[in-house]
Amino acid sequence: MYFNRILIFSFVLLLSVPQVSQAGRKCKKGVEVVILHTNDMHSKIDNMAKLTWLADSLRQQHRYLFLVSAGDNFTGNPIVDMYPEVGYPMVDLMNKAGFVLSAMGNHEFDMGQEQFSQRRKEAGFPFISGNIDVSGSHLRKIRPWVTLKAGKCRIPLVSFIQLEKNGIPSSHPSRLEGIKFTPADVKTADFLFLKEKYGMLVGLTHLGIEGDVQLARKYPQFDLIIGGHSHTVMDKPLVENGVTIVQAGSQLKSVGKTTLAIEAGKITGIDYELISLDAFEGRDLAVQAAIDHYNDNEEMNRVLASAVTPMTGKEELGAMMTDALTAMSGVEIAFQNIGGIRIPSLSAGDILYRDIFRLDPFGNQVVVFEMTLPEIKSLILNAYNRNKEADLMVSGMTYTALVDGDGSCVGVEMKGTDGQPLDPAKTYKVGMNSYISASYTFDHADPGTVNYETTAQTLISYLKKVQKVDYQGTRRTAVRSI
Amino acid sequence: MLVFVNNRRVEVFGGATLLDVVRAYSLTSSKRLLSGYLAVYDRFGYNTEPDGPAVEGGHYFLRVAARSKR
Repeated sequence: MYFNRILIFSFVLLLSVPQVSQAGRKCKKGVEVVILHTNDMHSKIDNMAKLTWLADSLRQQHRYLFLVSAGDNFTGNPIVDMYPEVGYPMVDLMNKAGFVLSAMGNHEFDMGQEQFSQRRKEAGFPFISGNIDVSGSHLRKIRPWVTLKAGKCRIPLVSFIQLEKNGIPSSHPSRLEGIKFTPADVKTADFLFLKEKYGMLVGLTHLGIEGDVQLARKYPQFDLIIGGHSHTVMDKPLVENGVTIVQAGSQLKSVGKTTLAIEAGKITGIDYELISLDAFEGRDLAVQAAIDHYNDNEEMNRVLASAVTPMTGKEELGAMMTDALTAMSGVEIAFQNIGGIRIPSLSAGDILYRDIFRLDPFGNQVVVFEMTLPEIKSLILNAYNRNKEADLMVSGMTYTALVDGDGSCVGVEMKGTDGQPLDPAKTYKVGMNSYISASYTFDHADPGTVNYETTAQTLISYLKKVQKVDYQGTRRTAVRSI
Repeated sequence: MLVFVNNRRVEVFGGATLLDVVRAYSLTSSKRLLSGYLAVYDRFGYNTEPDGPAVEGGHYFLRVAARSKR
């Protein structure tokens, strides 16, 4: 009996002693680890020389410093996105800055699987994600986690990507062929062994702050989540269920500096600060030279297509822009607001990449709606009455705005491209830019869906396909007084 | 999708950015956002860049940007 009591007491004592992992036993000596982290850089390269300088100077002060990205390194700067090897300038500069790791973000898929495979080979760092299965795609396996080594301590970082309601990340489905995704909160259970093995667990996620909070609520095993996707400028950390969550805005305006104190195989302290790179003066001159080279490159002067005749007004330019949507975005009718046509004309001859970004510089995305004829009519009518002019250029149909004595549009006559009335019983697939979609008033039962292509990219694809355009004299809108 | 700006319901297309959301809420506010006078804050009180994705059911708040107050 006495022996049994001793045995039970010893067992309880054993349970009450903090469990030290095998790796934790090796990691006895206290170490300080600095993780410099960016997220959602979106091809913005201009502050990379400042980041490099900062990372180098901090390396001189901290033995264990790691520069990581929480994903979405690409998409958002034509200098990078339209480079012949799409995205290469970003990878080159991230290599030069000394990145050791990146999470997979939804925009990593934007360049297509073939191009991304190439960029992964060129990157001096791995892309990781724990909820992507690429076995049915062209991509080689994506590791779910890595460890950062600091002396005898190893810090495991596991990554997850956000999924929309349709079960895929925010990217065009055509780019995700053969890839399977599992929700992060389901998949995380597979990686909790890392906490037991290494005594600590860090998430390098691309879930957005809401996703990170959900993850922290379900899995307090995380010590720290370094997040991305929501472009949240966190000047102080959020602590949820004992888990510290940090994120550093977007576009490389800032960088997060998270310092981990590690004692006896456990993270015993986390200190976070957000450092503004915009306000920074120091820069690495070699990296700055590379940035200047990319910014001054001739790629934007490449010839895309040829204009047989000059386009002398917004009606003709708008016809080209909307034809691009009907040709490339799977819509039957497309609209473009005249305020979004930013050059007055385009000469005959070569059309350059640079011309497209002068014509359509806003980065607006294509939004697709299923619309009835009365809904299309309400769009045209309300658009006209914004400034008492035919505001919407169109493809796939023509229209005449019927205007009263006050100059207000009170009716719209619509015809198909064959000159016949449109089918009143039909629902049409209509494309327009995100500016019209968000800011114009019109009836639409379908809330619309973005297709994750910008209107400028769509126009580039169209011009590459057709090679020659001739819009002289094109008129698809008219105004008639009644 | 449905989101909330200053507690007002705003319907926007799926995949909208916060700038799209603010445009749907008020074109005047979106111009002030782009000029830097206003900033978007999430339900946790953090500033969020306008190019960030809006979340279905998300609550966002427009306030005078911190640097504009100075």
